[in-house]
Amino acid sequence: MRVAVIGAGVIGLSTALCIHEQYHSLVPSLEVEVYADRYTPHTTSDGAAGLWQPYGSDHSNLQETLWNKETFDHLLGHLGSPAAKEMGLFLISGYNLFTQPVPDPSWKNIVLGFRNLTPKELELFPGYSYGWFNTALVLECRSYLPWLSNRLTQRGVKFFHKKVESFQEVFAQGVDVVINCTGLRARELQPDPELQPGRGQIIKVLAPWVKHFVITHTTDSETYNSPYIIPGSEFTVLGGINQRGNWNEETSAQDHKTIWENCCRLLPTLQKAKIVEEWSGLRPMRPRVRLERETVQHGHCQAEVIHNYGHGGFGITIHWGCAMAAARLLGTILQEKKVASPPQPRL
Amino acid sequence: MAAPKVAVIGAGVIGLSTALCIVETCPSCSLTVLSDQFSPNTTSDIAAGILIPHTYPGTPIHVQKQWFKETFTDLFAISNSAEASEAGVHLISGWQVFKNTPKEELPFWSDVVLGFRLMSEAELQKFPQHRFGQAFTTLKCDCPPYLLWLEKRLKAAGVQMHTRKVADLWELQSEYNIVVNCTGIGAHQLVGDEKLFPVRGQVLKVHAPWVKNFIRDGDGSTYIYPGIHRVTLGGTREMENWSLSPDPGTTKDIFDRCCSLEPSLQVAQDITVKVGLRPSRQCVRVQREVLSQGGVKLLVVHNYGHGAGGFSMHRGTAKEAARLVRDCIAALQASSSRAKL
Repeated sequence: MRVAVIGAGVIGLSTALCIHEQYHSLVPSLEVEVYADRYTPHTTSDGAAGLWQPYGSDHSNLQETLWNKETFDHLLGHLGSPAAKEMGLFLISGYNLFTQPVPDPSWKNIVLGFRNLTPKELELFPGYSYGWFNTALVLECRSYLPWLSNRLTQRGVKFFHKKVESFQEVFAQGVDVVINCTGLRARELQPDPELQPGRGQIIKVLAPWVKHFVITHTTDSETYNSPYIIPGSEFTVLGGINQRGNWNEETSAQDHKTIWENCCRLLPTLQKAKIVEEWSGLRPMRPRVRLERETVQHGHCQAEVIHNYGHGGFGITIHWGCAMAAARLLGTILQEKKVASPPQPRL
Repeated sequence: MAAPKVAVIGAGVIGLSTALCIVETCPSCSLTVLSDQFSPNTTSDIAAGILIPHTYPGTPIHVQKQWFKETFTDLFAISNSAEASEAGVHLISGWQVFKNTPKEELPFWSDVVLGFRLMSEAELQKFPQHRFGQAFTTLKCDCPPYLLWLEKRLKAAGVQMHTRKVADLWELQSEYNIVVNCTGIGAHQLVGDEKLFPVRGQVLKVHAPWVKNFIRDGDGSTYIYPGIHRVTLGGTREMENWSLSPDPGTTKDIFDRCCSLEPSLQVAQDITVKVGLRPSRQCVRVQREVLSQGGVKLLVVHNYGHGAGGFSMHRGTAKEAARLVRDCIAALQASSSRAKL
């Protein structure tokens, strides 16, 4: 039973691991393979700051909220383990800022210590009159993806460095199930007009005295199109660009200026920060995550594709919940093909 | 009379901040800082510099609150300015956790720090051995940066700084009109203060940049304070212990206690061990004194005995000491006028 995961960003690798963990002992013939043309540190996930935070109230959907919660709880459980640092995982507290009162977000009880900001705290951020404080997590993909890759390699999962041009190409090689974790370029494998780029740009600086994240929100703007500051384990990420429909992966001098000026206005201490790197990437935006099964014709047979893409700017936030959902879909397929024992209760 | 000559003895956080307040309050005087040690070799350099007050049994609470509030307000302004990184001042959030619910759930400083509240059940799950906790945001002054920044401001204001061991206050009588005693634990010998005693603290400074929140056990013995480049792990509170040598058994004990609060510290790197003697006293001595010897007077202002609360109270006590210096100057000018009559 050959399962091929296409895509090696956070979605692809975590889905591969979840599947292998759940089924390798139940399905002796299971072989999991990963196909991708880009591996860490060249994936979209690698550019993300890695802060666990779903979009605000405008994007709540119960299914996705559950997947977000599953991801947070899963990561929280790993915090106390010796692997946490290797995974790039740590707790962080910080601020969400608004120019007017807003309803509490769907995730207020998922994070730790959620509360509104006090007037004295708001003095730190002129121009913002309302906000939240909470403790969340950062998961840095520059560490997490290599960690996932190591776990997969230890389990005997094979990696192939190639660009897959079609599902058919993979089925023709004898793969039974394809897991499509190709992010924005899922469009190249199958038309999907709902899938659009949300271009982002970031500046990485050295500012180790900044210990909190600061995310601003502008009422009539796209999420993440408003300045944000997210400390990492080594560098701090400055951002605030989310341009829908812009396919340009090159960094723009205008966007650099916007990010720098806005972030320095938000946190004057950043003026002394040394710039280390610039990066630009395309968020795979979609009204809903596409997480579903599709049966495709392959010659005389029916082949199975499980789609798991379209996670926008919240891929890290939602990844584990989606990986488990994709694994459940695979379980159903394995059942149908009579290769697996009856479904085990999920631990 | 000519510009009063003031000497501040001590170049830790108390000496330097007091000198700066004197410059601001008494611009007419000529000020010199004398110390046998400067940063990075002061007691202040060992401390984490976190603003979490220590309660002095002998000082009225409203006074301690006033001192803390002044310190917090001044540093808050620096933390949000372009100077913050040079000054080493930054905001930090975290938790103070207790194995047993304390008698006082709301300490006197709870409305001075930011966002103070009790921890939720979910937050306490991270600390299985603790059943009560407080979450808040406070400030931290990293040393050496903070002390070096104070030194820079003093030099810019024309203050002289000399390395000199003062063995007796009277040594200074011929050169200075007023002596400000900010010698910390050194006051035990310098002025023979038997009420001043060391509380030995051993700490580890480690490289663990992924730790972004502070964690403190309410018993005061175990704490994790992330600084700009290093995390301070502590500690010990050994009363009347004068030893400045690190103890390896203690190092292991501190490390283990901190790892049980924050397991990821197991992989912390570059561990260095430091020891400091907290200059402890029932109450902080901020007081004027007129010493007399053979018809000669020496005006002294004391500002020492901050124990574990030096950073938390430093601006407040510095301002009070500066006011006392101003009173001394006024007294000198009055007696000088009388002498002229």
